[in-house]
Amino acid sequence: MSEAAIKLTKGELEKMLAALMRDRTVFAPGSTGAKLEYLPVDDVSDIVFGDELPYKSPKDVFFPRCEKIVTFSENGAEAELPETQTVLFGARPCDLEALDMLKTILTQGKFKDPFFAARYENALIIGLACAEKKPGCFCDQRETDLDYSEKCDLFLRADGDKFEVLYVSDKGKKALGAHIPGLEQFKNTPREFRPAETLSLDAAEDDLFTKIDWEEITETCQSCGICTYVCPTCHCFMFKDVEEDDKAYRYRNWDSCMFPKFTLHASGHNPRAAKRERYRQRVAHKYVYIKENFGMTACTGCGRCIRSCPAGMSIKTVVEGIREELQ
Amino acid sequence: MNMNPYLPLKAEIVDIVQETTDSELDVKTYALKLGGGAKMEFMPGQFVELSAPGVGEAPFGFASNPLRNDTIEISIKRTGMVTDAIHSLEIGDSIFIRGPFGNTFPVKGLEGSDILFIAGGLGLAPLRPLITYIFEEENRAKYGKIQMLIAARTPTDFIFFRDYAEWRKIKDVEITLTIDNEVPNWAERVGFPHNLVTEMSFDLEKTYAVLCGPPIMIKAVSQKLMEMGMPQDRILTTLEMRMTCGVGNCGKCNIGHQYVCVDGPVFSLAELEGMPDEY
Amino acid sequence: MIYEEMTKQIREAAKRLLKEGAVDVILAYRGGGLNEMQVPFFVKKPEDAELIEWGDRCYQNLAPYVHGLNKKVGILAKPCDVRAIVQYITEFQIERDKVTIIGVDCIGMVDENGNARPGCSECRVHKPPVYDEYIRDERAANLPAIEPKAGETTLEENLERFQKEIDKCILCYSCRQACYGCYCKTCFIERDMPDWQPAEIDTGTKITFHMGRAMHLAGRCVDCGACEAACQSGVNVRYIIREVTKFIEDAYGYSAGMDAEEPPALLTNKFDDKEFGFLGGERHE
Repeated sequence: MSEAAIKLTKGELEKMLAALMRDRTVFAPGSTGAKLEYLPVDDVSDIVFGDELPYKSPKDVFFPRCEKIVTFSENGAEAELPETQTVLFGARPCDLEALDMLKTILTQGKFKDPFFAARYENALIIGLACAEKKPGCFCDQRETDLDYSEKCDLFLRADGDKFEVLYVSDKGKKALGAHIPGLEQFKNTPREFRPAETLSLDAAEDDLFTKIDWEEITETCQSCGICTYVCPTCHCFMFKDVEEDDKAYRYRNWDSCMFPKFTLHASGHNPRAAKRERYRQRVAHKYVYIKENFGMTACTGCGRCIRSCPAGMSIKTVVEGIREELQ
Repeated sequence: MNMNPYLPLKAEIVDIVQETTDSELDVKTYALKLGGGAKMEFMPGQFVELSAPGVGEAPFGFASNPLRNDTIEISIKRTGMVTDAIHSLEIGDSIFIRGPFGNTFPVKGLEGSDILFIAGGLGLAPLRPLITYIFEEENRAKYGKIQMLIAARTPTDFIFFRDYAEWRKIKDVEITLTIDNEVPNWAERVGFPHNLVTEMSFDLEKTYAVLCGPPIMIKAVSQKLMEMGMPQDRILTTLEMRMTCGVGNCGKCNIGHQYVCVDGPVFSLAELEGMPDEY
Repeated sequence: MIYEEMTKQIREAAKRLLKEGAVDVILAYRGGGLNEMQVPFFVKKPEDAELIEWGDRCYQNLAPYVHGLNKKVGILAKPCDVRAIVQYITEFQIERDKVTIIGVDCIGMVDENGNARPGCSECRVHKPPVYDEYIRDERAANLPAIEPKAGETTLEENLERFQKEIDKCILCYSCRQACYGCYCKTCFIERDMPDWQPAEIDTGTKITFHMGRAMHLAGRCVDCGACEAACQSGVNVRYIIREVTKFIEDAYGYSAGMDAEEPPALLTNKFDDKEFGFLGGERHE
C-alpha cells in the first residue's frame, strides 16, 4: 500500500476535480433526480459526496450501455476508438476490483477488446473508500477491502471533513501534482484488512448441472435481468445493425443472460430456454467459469444485484446454499 | 488477424452457386474475394462472421479449401434476417467478413489414419475444407482410406454435388449417398446415416469419424459408432451456437466454461462427454 | 399486532388448502428480505405454511407467478394482485377454477423509511374484489377515498414530465418483466420484422418502448406499482399509464380486474361505445 499521501479539504478536492475537468470528462456520483449514478459532470457542485453507493456500477464509463463500433460505407468498414480522456471519480473498492477483472477478461485473453482497452487507457481512476457496509453488501466475504484498493490511480478516504489521498500509480501522482502544489503531506499507515470467511465455489461444473435444484432456487425470479445491468462484472453484449442514409452502423449494446432470446438459435433451438438454466449461467459464470478460465471469482460482493432484485433474491444466499448442498 | 477483432473486412462476391435444387432453393455457396488482394489464412474447422451491412452478422463455417484461399467459399442456408439479406446479394456486391475464429480439426493428428466422414444436409459444408485439404495432391498420401456417408432429405438437397464425381476419382475414396425416403430414379442408398453406418466396414483401430449435421443426426450416429466400438476420442464433430463476438466475450456460446467460438467449434465426443449438457 | 393476527389466519387457510389437496402450491410471502422486505415464497408443504409472513412490506405483485404455472395454485393476494388475477381470467390466460384466491385487505405497503410504495399512496382499492378465502383488515374500511390523479395536467406538461422521466431510463426492461400484464412471448420491442428497436439507446427508442407498453396496457393496468418498484433507475411512467386508464374509465366505464365475469373494455365492441378520437374526433354521447 502506498505510504505517501496528502490530505485535502473538500474545497481543495473540488478544486482539483474542477482543474481535471478542463481537459477531461469527469464521471462522478451525481443525482438523476431519483437515484445516485455515475454521471458525466461539468460542475463540481453536481458531484454528490457521501457514503451512498450509486445503484449502478461505473462499468459503463468503460463499457457503455450502447456504443457505435463499426461504420460501414462504400470505402469499407471503419472503427473509431474512443479518444476522450476521462476521470472516474468515487469508484468504490468493489467496483475497482470489478473493473480490474473486466480488464483481465476483455483485454488479456486471446483477443483484446480495443474499445474497453482504449477507455481504460484514457481514464484516470480515483477510488473512494466506503465508510461502512450497506445492506446487501458482502465485500468482506469476497476478499474485497472496503477501505482500500490499489486497482486505481489515486485512492481517497474521507476523514472527518478532509480527504486522505493516497498515490497509487505514477499516473495518479502526476495528475494530482500537476494541479495542486504544496499541500499537507502525511504518512499513511496501512490498515490491516481482515476478510471474513471467503464465499466461493469449488464445485465441479457437472455437479452444478446435476446436483442443484435450480428450479427451486429460481421459482421467484422474474427474469427481469436488472441484476446483470447493475452488476460491475457482467459484460455480455449483442450487436445491432442499422442503416442510416447511405451508411450502415453497428452498435454494441449490453445484453443479459437472463433474457430467453440471448441464446436462441435461428433454428428455434435454445440451449438455455428456461429461467433456471439462465440463472445457473449467471451464478456459474461468475463463480465457476471465470475462475476456471482466469483464476478469479467475478463477484466482488457489491450487493447491487441483491438490493435491486424486485423478488428479493440474493446471489449470496444462493451460493451459500450451493456450498451446503455440494459439501 | 487485424488488431480490432470486431472490425470486419470488405469482400466482394465473385461467384454464387445454387446448391439445393428443390423449390426452396435455400442453400447457396458464395465465393468471396477480400479487398486489396488480401487473403484470409485459415485451417479446416474454423469459421467467420459474415455481415450484411445494416442488417446484422452471423457465424458460418468455411466451406472451401484452405490451401486455395484466393477466394473463400461459404455455404449459406436462408433461415433468418441476415441470411435473407445475403441471399438477396448478387455477384459484384460487397459483403463484410471477420475471422477466422475458433479451433481447427486436428489435421496433423489425423495423419496416418483412415477417416470416415458422415455429413447430413448442410453439414457437409464445414467438412469440405478438411476433405479438400486431404485431397490436395501434396497431402493425400499422408492419410489412409477416406469413406464418406453423405445424407440429404431428398436428391435435390445435396450440396457440392458437382464435387462427388471428382472425389470418387481419387484413390482409396468411397462415397455413399443416401436420402430419407425412396424416390423414382434414385440409384444410391435410402435410409438414415445411423442405420447405414453399421453396414460400413472400417478398421476400428485406425479410423477417425468426423461428423456434421443436425444435432439429432450427430447424436444418433455417434451412439451407433460407440456401440460398434469406436473410441470417443476418435469421433469428432463441430458445433454451432448463437454467437455475437466470435472471441469469447459476448457470453452466449459457452458450454460450461468452454466457449464454442474459441475452444471449439471442433470437439471430440470424449470432450463433449466431459462438458455439461447445455447445447 | 393486526398483521400478526392476519398472518395467523393466512397460515391456517394455507395449511388447510394444502392439506385438503385443493392446491399444489400457494404463492405467499415470507420474511428474510433486505430491509425487512417480505419476499415471495412458494409454499408446497402444509408445515411450511408456518413460515408465511404478512405485513406492510409484501410489495411484490405475486400474480405474474401464476401465469404459465401449470399447477393448481393458491395465491395470497392483495387487492391489486387479485385484480391482476381477474384480468388473467378475463383475458383467457388462466381458468378461474385453477386458482384459489386468498384475498387480503390491504392498507398499503411501505418501504424501509416508512414511505408509501409506488402505487400505494394513490390506491383506491383496499378490499379484494374477488376471493375464495378472505382475510379482513379492519383498518381498510376507514381509509379516505382518493380521487385518481389523472387528467389534471396539460398535454404539454405531461410531455415534459415524460421526457424527464425517460431520461433516467436505461432500457433494461425490468418494468416489463415485473408487470403482470406484459406476458407476450415476444415483446413488440424485440420483434425483428418489423424492427421496433433501433440500435441506439436514445430518446426515440425509449419513447417507442414506454408509449408502446402504455398503449398495450390500456384498460388493463391494475395500478399495482410493480413496474415502478422494479425500476432501479427511478423512472416513473406509471402516470402516463394512469392517463390511459382514466381515458378507458371515462370512455367505457370500465376498471380492470374488478369483475371476473366482465369482458375487458378493449375486448368488446358495442354500438354505443364512445369511440372519440378514433372516429375523427367527434365524441358522440
